Amino acid sequence: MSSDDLPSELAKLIQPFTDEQQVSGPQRVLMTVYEMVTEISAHTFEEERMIRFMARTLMGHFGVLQILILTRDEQGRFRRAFAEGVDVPEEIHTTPEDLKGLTDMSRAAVIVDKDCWLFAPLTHETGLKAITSLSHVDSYGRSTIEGAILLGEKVSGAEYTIEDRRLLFLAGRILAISLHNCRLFAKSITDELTLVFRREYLLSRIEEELRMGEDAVTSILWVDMDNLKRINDTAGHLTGDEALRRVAAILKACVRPGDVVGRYGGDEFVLLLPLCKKENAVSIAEKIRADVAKCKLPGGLDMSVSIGVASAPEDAKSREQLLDKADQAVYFAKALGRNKVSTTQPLGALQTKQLSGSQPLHRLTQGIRALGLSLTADAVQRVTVLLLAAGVENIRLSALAVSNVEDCELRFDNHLTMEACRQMEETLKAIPGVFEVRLRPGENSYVRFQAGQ
Amino acid sequence: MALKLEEQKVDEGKRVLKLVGSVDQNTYERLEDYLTKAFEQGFQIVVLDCSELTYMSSAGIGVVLWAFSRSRKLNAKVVMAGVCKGVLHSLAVLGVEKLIPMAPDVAEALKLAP
Repeated sequence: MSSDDLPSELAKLIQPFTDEQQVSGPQRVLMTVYEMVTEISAHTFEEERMIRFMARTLMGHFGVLQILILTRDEQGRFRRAFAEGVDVPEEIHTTPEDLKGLTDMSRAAVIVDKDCWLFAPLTHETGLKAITSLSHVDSYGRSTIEGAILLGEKVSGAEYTIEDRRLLFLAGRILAISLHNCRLFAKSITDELTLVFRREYLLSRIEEELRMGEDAVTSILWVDMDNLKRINDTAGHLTGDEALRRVAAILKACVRPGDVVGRYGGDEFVLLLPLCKKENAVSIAEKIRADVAKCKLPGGLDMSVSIGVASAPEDAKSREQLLDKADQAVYFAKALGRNKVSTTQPLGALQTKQLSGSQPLHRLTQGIRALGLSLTADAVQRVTVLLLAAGVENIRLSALAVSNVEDCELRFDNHLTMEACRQMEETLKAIPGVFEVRLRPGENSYVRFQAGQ
Repeated sequence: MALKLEEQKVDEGKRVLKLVGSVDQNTYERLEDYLTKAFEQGFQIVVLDCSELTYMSSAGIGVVLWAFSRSRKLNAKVVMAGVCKGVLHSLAVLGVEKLIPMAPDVAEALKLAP
């Protein structure tokens, strides 16, 4: 709302703030509150920035050289979040009395004197003088202490007035609510199991990056675990969870500051690498692949990942297309025998042009999943990729026998030469899971798969 | 409102930083970033030319106080020059005016910090 929309009296009151006139007395208090509210609401999800802003504002408002802002961790311990002019350890020892003192504080900060022992001996050693709680009250009236602000003596030598104490208390409330929101937000965008970002946030960041980055090169890594199902089946789901956590930790350790690691779902992770050329993205992917392959799970189980790399604007411009390209690249990596990094670009015989009709691959993949062909899925994908690369069209997938839905076949229109058919038959027969291949130029051709082969 | 920072090199280790506009909640970080780098590079004297500074918020004054503490620790000096009446009044009420050397203009400020 602009000040023009407000009643004229209110507009007059706010005028000095919007015009940034240097004011004094009670108006300066209002101005400081105005700035706290506007700034903190502008950076609601940047905890460190909010705390720094609040610290500088309180130093400048009261004219102090010492400030200590404490926040509480998940275990309820008080930790140093910001310190200026005081030398204190990272963890601050507190007593139940300190917590009670912060909880009992009502409407005004307290001043340390001979009768107030809050945060003693810290306050007595450092000379910190005024204390307020970072308290947040929810809609049920329950109070939560998120931390505390401690201020030193004023350089003017003046005492803290009751108005000062009320403003400091208000600052504590504003910061506490913001910290609380900040943590709720962080929780809402974080995947609980792996502690990387959740899919929704990841997708919004990719969208934002492509929109803001315009012609800048943005790369995506699609990381797919090769053997999570086997780990779950043989070692149990707790080990499976541990495998996901370890892969997530490796992903976070391998990326650059500013990159975004997210869990797309199940055993699939997607990494957003802003301002990253494809060759650099491939190097990062290669490091991830190698580190995962080196990692051993409890019981000595091995892990591996297949990674697809795609870059905008080279491979695609929209988010959906880019994800689709990276997804396709993962299938190439799997077709090449897993534990591989692949791009949508040159990959041996596979050419983008030949795969431009790769919608069938995508549809087939969905088909494989729909039929529940977990045992033969890999073989089907590998064969499909090879057939598409050879220029085969109109590939159709169907189940072979009702008794065992894992048995299936691929049929397709064959325009290959006799020689090409002979070579292809040899290659396809060598793929585990394939039990029958018939390739005849111009005739109905098929590849059959059998579970457990 | 915007803040423009114009740096002028006087000699090695001595800089004049002209603040044009206002140091407020949107711009205080830029002043702090500049001063952080200045101290890291070992500048001994930084004169803040405030002759075209129209407004300094509490966060801005907070940065000035931090810069004072930091300079004292590093045995360096921060001087404010040409501060307008309004801002000077705020600094005087807080006692900052007595803490940080003040000069009517840059030439005088450089004399204060030879």
